[in-house]
Amino acid sequence: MIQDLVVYLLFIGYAIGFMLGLATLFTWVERKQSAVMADRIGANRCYIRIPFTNVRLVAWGLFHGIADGAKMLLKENFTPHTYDRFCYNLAPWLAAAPVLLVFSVVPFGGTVTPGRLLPQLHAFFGERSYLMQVASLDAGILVVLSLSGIGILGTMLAGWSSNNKFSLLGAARAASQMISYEVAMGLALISLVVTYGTLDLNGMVTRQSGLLLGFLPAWGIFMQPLAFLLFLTAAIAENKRVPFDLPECESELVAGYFTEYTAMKMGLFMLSEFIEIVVVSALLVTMFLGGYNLPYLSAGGFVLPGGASWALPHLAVVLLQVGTFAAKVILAGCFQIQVRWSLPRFRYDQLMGFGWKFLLPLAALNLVVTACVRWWTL
Amino acid sequence: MIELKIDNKMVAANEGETVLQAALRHGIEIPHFCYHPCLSIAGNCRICLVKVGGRPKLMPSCNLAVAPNMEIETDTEEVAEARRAVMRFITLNHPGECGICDKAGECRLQDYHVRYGEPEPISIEPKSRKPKFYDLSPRILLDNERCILCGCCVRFTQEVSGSHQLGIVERGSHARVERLETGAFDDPYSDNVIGLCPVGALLSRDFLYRSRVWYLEPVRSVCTGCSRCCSVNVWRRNRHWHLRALGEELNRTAYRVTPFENPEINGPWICNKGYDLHRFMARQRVLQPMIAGRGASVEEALAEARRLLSESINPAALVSAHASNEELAAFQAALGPRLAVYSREDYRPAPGEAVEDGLLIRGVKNPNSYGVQALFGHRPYGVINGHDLLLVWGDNAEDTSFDGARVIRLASFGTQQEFTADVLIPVSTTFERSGSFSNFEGKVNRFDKVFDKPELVQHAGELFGRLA
Amino acid sequence: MRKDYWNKPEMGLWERLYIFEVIRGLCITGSVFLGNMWKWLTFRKGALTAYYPEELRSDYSPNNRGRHVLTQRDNGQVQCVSCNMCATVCPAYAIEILSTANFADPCHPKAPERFEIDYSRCIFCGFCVEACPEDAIRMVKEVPDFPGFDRDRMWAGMDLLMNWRPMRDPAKHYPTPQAPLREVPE
Repeated sequence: MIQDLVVYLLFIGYAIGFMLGLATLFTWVERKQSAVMADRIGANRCYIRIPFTNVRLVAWGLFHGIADGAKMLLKENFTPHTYDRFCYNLAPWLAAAPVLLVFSVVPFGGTVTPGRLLPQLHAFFGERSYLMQVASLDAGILVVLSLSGIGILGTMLAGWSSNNKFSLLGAARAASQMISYEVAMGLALISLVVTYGTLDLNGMVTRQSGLLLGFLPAWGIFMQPLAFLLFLTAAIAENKRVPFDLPECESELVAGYFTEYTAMKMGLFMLSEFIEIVVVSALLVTMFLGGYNLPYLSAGGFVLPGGASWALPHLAVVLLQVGTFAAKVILAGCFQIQVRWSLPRFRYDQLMGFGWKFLLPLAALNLVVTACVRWWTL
Repeated sequence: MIELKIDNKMVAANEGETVLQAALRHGIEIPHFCYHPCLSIAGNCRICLVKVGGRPKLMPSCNLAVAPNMEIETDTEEVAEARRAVMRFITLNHPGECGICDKAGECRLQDYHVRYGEPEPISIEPKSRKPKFYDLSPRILLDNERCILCGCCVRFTQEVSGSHQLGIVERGSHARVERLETGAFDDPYSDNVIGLCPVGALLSRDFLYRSRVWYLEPVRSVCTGCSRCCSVNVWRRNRHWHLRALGEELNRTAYRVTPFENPEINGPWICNKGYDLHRFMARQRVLQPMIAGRGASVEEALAEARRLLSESINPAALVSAHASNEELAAFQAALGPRLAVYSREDYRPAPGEAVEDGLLIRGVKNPNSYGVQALFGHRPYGVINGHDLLLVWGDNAEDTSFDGARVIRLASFGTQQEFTADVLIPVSTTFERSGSFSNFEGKVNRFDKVFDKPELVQHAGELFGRLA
Repeated sequence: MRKDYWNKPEMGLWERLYIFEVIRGLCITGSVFLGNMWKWLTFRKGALTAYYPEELRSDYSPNNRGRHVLTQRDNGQVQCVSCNMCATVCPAYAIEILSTANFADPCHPKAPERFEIDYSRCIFCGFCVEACPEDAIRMVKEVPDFPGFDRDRMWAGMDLLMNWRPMRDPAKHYPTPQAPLREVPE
């Protein structure tokens, strides 16, 4: 029993560290990637001077994340003249916490048997094995959908309790946009569920470990390409990032629903946006890009299509799986940033029209076709 | 009335006028250096040559009396050629250092050179050198190279001020303006030659290189030096050219004082004391209201003064001769019936100062003594009258002793320690308010505000209503 | 009813499908990213901008109007005669000159005591250089040390303007006078 506690505490620590670390990294990646795309240099003014020397450690501007954090913690905590202090203070947490929780159902590795990792651990753990996942729930996708539904509350509360026109407009836009795209996202995921026949995310990853047509990894993106596109679009819209950043577009609404937030409260909103990049990437990877699966890698080692195989120790396999997942998440996040710096923003009516008149019918069609194919193949 | 034709325009001239005067009066421009309406006609600069119908040669218009049916032409090619030639001659040895000349911007030679001269000199000879920056007097510098020998300054000392202290010595290219055998140029009207000089030969030492003239703008004011109340122009910095790095205080400084031509009172002249008016106004100021030697706010000082006034049994007021007529009226309306009023001479003639002469300077050294007398009569204050409260309005603390009476002072100049008053309220100077003075002949001369008053300083005219 | 605009885009089916055009756009930005990244990874500079304070531009046009220089005479005195032409012509009212009389040098009786240029106001039009009759003020192409934290402290004084890049080749010279100019008769 104590062994379970240790393992799950480690998993929770890894999950939180993974998300916050990657979120901080993505603030840097966003600056640097956009700079490189635009022939610029990007943020590089932060440095740490090595004590007693004049050597300045710039590290490509990596310390900007630290500087941002320090700045947000130290800034004046301005509160507007609102009559609802409670909601005003609650909103940032309501926006950030569900995003953090979503990751609990995402598997970031395959099955691990701690006792076989290192000989020293065998005495303590024995032959127990664990799925590398904080909470392995049967209703995984439902948890994801419901938690992301809570996120809407945060933005709405923030906008409403700020006592500011821009905030209220931003919140109204955020609510309608997120609810609209939630529908399309849900339909896209249902077709995926129909394909895999399970709601459990770990189950989905296991289904993607095989091969398609003998050589192609059986990833969701190959089995459900349309659902992949729909989910990607809807997820970016859920995250309220360009080209769907209507709720906080600077040119119209200053900063949208968090106009009146300062210091770390505003930082929580920003942080939740970047955590959401990580989470969306993790979900994309889990459901469509094979999760922690590396092609041709099974629990015992590599098995190539030609029949050749290469056995690996358990530790190496686990590390490969965890590393694969992290690498895939980072690449997916970079892709989101690439989208954010490439596409122009929608107009509001275009946004709504796109969600309801384009994505939703496509998702429904995809579901019908998937269901038919599934019925036919069963 | 004589009718004559100038540039094909019928012009009515007075008997005995010259053509130049008639033309200038009718807005026809004829250039002139040595002509000045208040001086005799010299006719030595030759720039005012005009074509007279029926005469073969050009005539100097400044010395040409009008005659009936004269036909004058001022803009023919012949006249223009003559002007070009005269300009060529006048500028032959002129150094052309307008860039560092204080006169530039209001220099007639500069204007005429642009309008009538030619851009390049034709002479290849080196220019003749003469003494530059020669101390004509402690107040005036003479640059002989720039002098065009029009003789205006010489004629001024001979005909207007009557001191005969200047003359032109030597001949040809050595001719220069010089003090005569009397030695010093200590004429009390000497600074007028600076403005009279059509070029930058005579320079004010006080204004030397302080500013280019186009940065300044004149404001009409009145000299407070004596009861003549001459009209003057006070030159302050134009709003567009306010300084920032060199000191904000320069924007609140009067750069120089020049006469404002007022035929009724002073004509085109003022005395040297008038030229020093800006220094008179730049003395140490009282800027802080005080109650019994301690700093106080304006409101507190006013309240204390009101209290003293209401407690007093036999109050009196000494009224400043630097007060404007408007302030006197305000005083009369607000406090006049309650107080015994005495007139006060703020300043008396300084030792060595010219007391009175036949030209401008008057013996009473305050501008509005006559305005005060007209309202309140001539009543100097004496200790014997037994007042227990005195409202002393005016400068100059080393006045009379007040024999134990409580004192409320309204003063502009001096140090705070100088005034041992129960209440001291700073009031604005002539430069900081507009109003009018009545001079010794009863003529009213108005003055405009030159600068804003400092924050704690009050306008005396607005003060009396709040004291009552 | 939506209003029709004159510049309404005409999109074919391909563009209207949106997704393919999006992918095309992503390819464009992605290729720029990869190209620049390849330069960075191979230790070349993949950006057009400069690290400003550390890296100064070296390719200023020779006609660029940068910081002012007050030229000096052979004896190290400032060439300026304080005629205020530059201050007068300056459209930004950025130049202020305090003059002083110096009769010790008979050729240059007027000299600036202070010469201040407000770089928070200067618009680098170069009028001051054109207006100067003495070749006393010039603009060089470089613009070093301009940023400041306080717009009231962006004044450059005579010391700085003369000495940050000393120039002793003014085009206009005065001959030394043969006879003393300030003779006092008697």
